[in-house]
Amino acid sequence: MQTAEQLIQRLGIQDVDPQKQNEILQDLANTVSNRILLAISEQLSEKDMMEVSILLDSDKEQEAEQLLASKINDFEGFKARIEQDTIDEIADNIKAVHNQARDIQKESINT
Amino acid sequence: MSAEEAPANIENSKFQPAVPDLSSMSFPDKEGMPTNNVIDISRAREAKEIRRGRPPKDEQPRKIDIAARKRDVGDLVGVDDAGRGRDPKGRFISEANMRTIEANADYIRQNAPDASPQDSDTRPDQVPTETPAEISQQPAPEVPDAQAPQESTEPTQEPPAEVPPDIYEEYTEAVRNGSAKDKTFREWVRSTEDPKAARWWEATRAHGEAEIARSGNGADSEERGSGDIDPRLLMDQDHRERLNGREGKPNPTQDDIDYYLWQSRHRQDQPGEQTQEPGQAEPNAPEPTPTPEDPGDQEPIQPPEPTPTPEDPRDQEPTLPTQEPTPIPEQPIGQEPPGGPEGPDEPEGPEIIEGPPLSERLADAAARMDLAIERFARARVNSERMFGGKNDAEMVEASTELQRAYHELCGVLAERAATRTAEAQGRLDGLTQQREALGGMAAAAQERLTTLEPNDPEVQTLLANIAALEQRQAEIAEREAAEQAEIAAIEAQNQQEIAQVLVRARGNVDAEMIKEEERTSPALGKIANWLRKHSGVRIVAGIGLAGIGIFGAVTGNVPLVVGAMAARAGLSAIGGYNASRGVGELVAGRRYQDSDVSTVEGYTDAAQRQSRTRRRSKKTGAVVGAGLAAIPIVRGIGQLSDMAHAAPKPAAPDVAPKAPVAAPDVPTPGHPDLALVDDRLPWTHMTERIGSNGTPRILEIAQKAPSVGWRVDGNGLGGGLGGIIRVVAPDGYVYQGNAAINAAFDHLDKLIAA
Repeated sequence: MQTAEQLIQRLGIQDVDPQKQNEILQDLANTVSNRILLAISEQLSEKDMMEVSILLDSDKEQEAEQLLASKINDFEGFKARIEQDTIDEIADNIKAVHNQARDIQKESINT
Repeated sequence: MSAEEAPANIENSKFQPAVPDLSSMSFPDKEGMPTNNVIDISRAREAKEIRRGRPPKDEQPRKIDIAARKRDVGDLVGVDDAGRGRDPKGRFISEANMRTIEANADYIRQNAPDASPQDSDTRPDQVPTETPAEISQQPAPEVPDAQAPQESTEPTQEPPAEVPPDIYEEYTEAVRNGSAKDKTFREWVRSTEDPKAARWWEATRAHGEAEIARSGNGADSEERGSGDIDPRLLMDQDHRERLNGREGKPNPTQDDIDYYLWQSRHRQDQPGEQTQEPGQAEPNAPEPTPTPEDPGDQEPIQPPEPTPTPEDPRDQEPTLPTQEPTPIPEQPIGQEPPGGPEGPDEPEGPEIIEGPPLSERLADAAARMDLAIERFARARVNSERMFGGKNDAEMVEASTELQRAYHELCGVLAERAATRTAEAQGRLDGLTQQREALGGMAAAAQERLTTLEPNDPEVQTLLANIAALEQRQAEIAEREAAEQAEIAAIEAQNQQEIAQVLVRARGNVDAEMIKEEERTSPALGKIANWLRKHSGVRIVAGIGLAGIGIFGAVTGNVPLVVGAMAARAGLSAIGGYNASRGVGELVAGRRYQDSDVSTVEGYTDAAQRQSRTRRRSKKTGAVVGAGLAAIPIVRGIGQLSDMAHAAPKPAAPDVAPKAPVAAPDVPTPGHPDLALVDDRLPWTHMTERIGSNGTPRILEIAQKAPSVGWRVDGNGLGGGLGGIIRVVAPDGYVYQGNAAINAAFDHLDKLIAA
């Protein structure tokens, strides 16, 4: 697990205002959550989801949560992989754009 | 410049008036033309037409009444037997100017220097011996009685001069048709071609002045003819003479003469640049008269105020604090820093143009990205609905478009960041260069100081110079520090923008997918709603992020669609993209600048779409198997870091679910990298592979797959309509599309057999 500082460094936002940093991290968390939700939905059949839905209708939220987790092997590891993949992907892309910006700048100075 | 310093050969200068001296005439004040000024506009315009080689419209051609001309203006200028006018020096006066003089003979007589003392701005006792004023009072060779008759000093009752109405009409029409929108009359006149401006000036100025301003060769030689008047010269001269008169100086002063001589030489050197402002021509030009502004709009008759242009050499502060010429003859320190004597206040950076085009490109890229996301999500859902991946072509196309849009967005972001930084860096470099140049000058002055005796009168000047240079260096150093802080702020801004846009773009894809899936899967909708309403539910929270106290809004009390909407808002915040508007409209020209961003509208649109989505979801209640796969749409972008000096290229459509193994560089733990096989229907593939009906084998594999951690999803249909939707690996990796499904089936077949 990486610290917030490490994450900020990876995203290349170390010079950004802390409030904005937090906003970006929240956006990142949103993205990760969405991807996990998508992955859960693909792992579960419609029947499984209907079961969860029925539990939710009965206000059995804890059971619903357990059911969801039980339907996926190594649920925590599964989530961790998705999260790491997402962060890696975004961080790499951000780094790539910064590198490209530097190249453009160098090129403009040289010309 | 005193009157005594007037040049002896003034009669040879271009300021020699061709008509009786008008230099000390009274000129219209700010309130407009005095009523006693007789300006025949129609005649003047006529004269203008003649100069352009076109006869007047109403009288063409017009014959010269020689006798009438001699009678009317014979007391002012010489008129020979052919009717041609001659000035006091015997030089021919153009026909156009003769007509102007004829048209304004009364005005000229009335305003002649000896006509009325109160009309003169110049005191006669200060007129130098050889000024044009005195010369003009001498009888012309061919005009024995060139003095203005006293009886003609009576003010006429003719109406004051007025601007040719067609100019205003043209301006009004230009405003109506939009070509002069948001332009004042002054700006419009300035922006139109010189002949038009010249026409305006010549028609609205006192025509008696026209000949005085003949020193100009015309603002545009092709349009104006050799004898025509440069409106700027006319304007300059008018203004200068008024100033001179007010200050008790002769007209013209030696400064004026030198300046106009220089200006004339400059025109000869650069005939193509005759429209150049005088002050912009050469830094070493003699002191010019401050250049007033262009013709006015609100008060067109009003003489312009002396507004020195920044380029006017007279207005530039000397490098050194003393007004005296610098006593350093060698001028080792006289090398001017970049940009002139004082150096530029704002040194120019690299010629990188940011501005609207880049903003528009970013807006377009954001728009394309958003549309590509939506299209991709729809294609995915459609693909899920169709049996056997019949909609794969649309899927591949949509994913390719998504990749391309993302690459474009990244490229524009990079360019925008580079441009911002380069501009600031350019300014900083310019300041540094300027400071170093000043340092060199100060060092040279110091060196020279060491060679002088302490009581040398030059010492004090040098010391003052050095102090001024050091002070200027200190000022520039302060600005450098401010510029460095600005660069740091720009870097932070770039970091924020890039991260924000990319994170949100990535999130937008997933949010759009969830939205689409919600539309067709009520159960998922219910689960998603539950997650949104209960912030305590962390089942979909990232482990690492939750560990450091960061939870996505999806786990909070925020509608999921807001995720997509917020992403668009984030894009629009920097690019002016309105989510509801299509790319076509944006590209077609309705581009949104930063200031035009309507975030409220964007939110409204998103809310409406959300409502529609939910209505559709309730109405259809469609159930489409399991959910959709997460899409690694932009994984390939990471490779951009290795692409030095290369524009982003659309990556191969590795995002297509049908080709999950087409990206070997992507680490995909938990599932094998399978080589794609043929993309025919699984039944066809299996039948061909085993040499008999493939259906039993497919069913067997589907049933046994869970035993090895795999899952095969079918469409649930029978009666010959059944089909495989996807094959899911133990880690959740999805093989979708015929080619990938066939590869997965081959793999499972071996796995199960083993």
